Amino acid sequence: MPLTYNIPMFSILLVLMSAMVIPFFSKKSWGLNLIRGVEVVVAALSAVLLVQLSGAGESFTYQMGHFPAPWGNLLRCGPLEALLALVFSLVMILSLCAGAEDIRRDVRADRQGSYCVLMQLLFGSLLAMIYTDDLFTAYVFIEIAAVTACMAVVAKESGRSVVSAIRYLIFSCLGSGLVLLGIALLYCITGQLLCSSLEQAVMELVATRTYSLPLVVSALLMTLGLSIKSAQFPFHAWLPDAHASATTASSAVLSGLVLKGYLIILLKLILRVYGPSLLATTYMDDLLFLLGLTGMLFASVAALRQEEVKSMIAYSSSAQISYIFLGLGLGTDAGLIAACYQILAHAMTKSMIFSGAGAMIRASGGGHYWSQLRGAARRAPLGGLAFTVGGLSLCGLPLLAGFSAKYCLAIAALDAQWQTAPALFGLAASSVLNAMYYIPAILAIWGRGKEGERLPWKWEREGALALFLLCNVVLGTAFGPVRDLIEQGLNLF
Amino acid sequence: MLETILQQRYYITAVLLFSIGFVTLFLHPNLIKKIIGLNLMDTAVFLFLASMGYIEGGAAPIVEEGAKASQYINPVPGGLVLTGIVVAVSTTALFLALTIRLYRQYHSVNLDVILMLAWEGKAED
Repeated sequence: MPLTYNIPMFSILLVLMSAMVIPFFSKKSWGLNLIRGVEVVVAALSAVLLVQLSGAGESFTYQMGHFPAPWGNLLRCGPLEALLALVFSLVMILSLCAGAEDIRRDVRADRQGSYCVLMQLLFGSLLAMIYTDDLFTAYVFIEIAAVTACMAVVAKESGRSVVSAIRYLIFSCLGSGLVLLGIALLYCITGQLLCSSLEQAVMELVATRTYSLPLVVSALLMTLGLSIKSAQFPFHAWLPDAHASATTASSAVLSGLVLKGYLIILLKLILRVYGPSLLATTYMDDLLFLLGLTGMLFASVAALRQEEVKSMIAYSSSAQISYIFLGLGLGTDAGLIAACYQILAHAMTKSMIFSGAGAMIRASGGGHYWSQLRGAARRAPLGGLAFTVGGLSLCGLPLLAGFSAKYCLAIAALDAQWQTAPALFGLAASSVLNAMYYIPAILAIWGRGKEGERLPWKWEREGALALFLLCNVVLGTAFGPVRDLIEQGLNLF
Repeated sequence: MLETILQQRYYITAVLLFSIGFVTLFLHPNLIKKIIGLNLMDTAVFLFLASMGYIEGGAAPIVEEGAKASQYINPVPGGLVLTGIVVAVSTTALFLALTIRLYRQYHSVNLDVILMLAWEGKAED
């Protein structure tokens, strides 16, 4: 076994261990530096793994403690998982750098170490969701992510953030209850928890036509639970408040990464457990498609009515998540590729927008209504630029990440059966709606407003925003290589 | 019919409990009752798992020399239930902590009242 095969296990372990070390530091700034350092290491290791796996065109399973399949727990890694881990760790580092000042201001001085522990545990649970091959492990890490994400919202300790955190927690608990019941039901009829053994067991059940109703019910329960957790349209009531009332770095990570973690598990269920053909015969993919289509339109309409910058961005997250559901619901390989592209593009773009908005809010003295943000981009130029580029990317301006994801989705929709026309209509309408709320916002922040002091130049923040911009352009322009990488990854998934 | 119900009594109870818990957590405005609902919901899944792993006449899965595997009940659901209990306890703790915070600030455990007060506070900013 090559040494690089240990990287998934090692990075999860490194992240969780470093979280445990932080409380022992006496100096507060060390915690933040340590977690960013660890994330840089994880990003570098994932990049090495990605190069090696995509070069060799292989994926592997890692036995925890060398116990073979039915008894031991497995990690599974291919090029797609390595790519996701790389992008997630990059987003995590950049969000924590861009939001560092807000963390120091919003979080109480004696709690900053705990905040770092939270963020690190959240990152660890996301990594584990990416790599794990075991449904119950996935459930445990779903819960860890939910608890830490709630506490990341509450870290600001304003009344509003506690209220929104409790609503977030209620919806999370509903979602994870459904997921747990679904897993229990699936275990009941198959006797397996590992994805690889589940796939065979499910295929046998389908072939012998036994337990077909419980099988569908379990798929339905898990899909429902995961869509509640990832704020898909009819279940998105908790999202805007929770994401808008948190501190900048929390909002960026929650919107950019945490929602995607659940979608990766959904992707695993679709590809590794149930298999696309079973979903097509039980109309599950149509359900996903319709959820996505309605979400794209309704969440965008809701975003139009927001007077607060962060609420608007949060509603736009719900709309963008719908694109992923639409891609998954197309039921073709191209649709899955588009969904993965959208996961990457939205992770990069949305955290950049939140970081940019955070810088502008800071430059306007904490005002987060549009009236207070007029001319904010002149006071925080790079933050304004990040917001502008991110907004245009989501509207679908070519050469940016959002455009490439939409292009990918449109190509996938052309090959679909009855879905082609609705999907293309949805894409067009939602792009117009995106433009309807992002372009006035962009004009407002660059317009002439009340004179204010420029935000002092901080290398930490400006560097992170510049890197965000660079990554976004790279994801947008390097369309071919990234798409090929995702395609290879999905074939080996 | 009656025989089927009797055979499946654990599963039926589990599903009933789960539904009661789910609806309470979703719809009841009182935060404490919501927490009770959450625990009911989790306990229902544990009942489901534990009854599934039970084999008629099986012993607790502690290995003794000379005993066959068929003499024991299935140990895996037991392990899952234990893990699930840990998870349920920690979410309950977080839920309670947030409820205490809210009660100190708004002097109510009714979520509707709290949301109304929070909305008024937001309008004043």
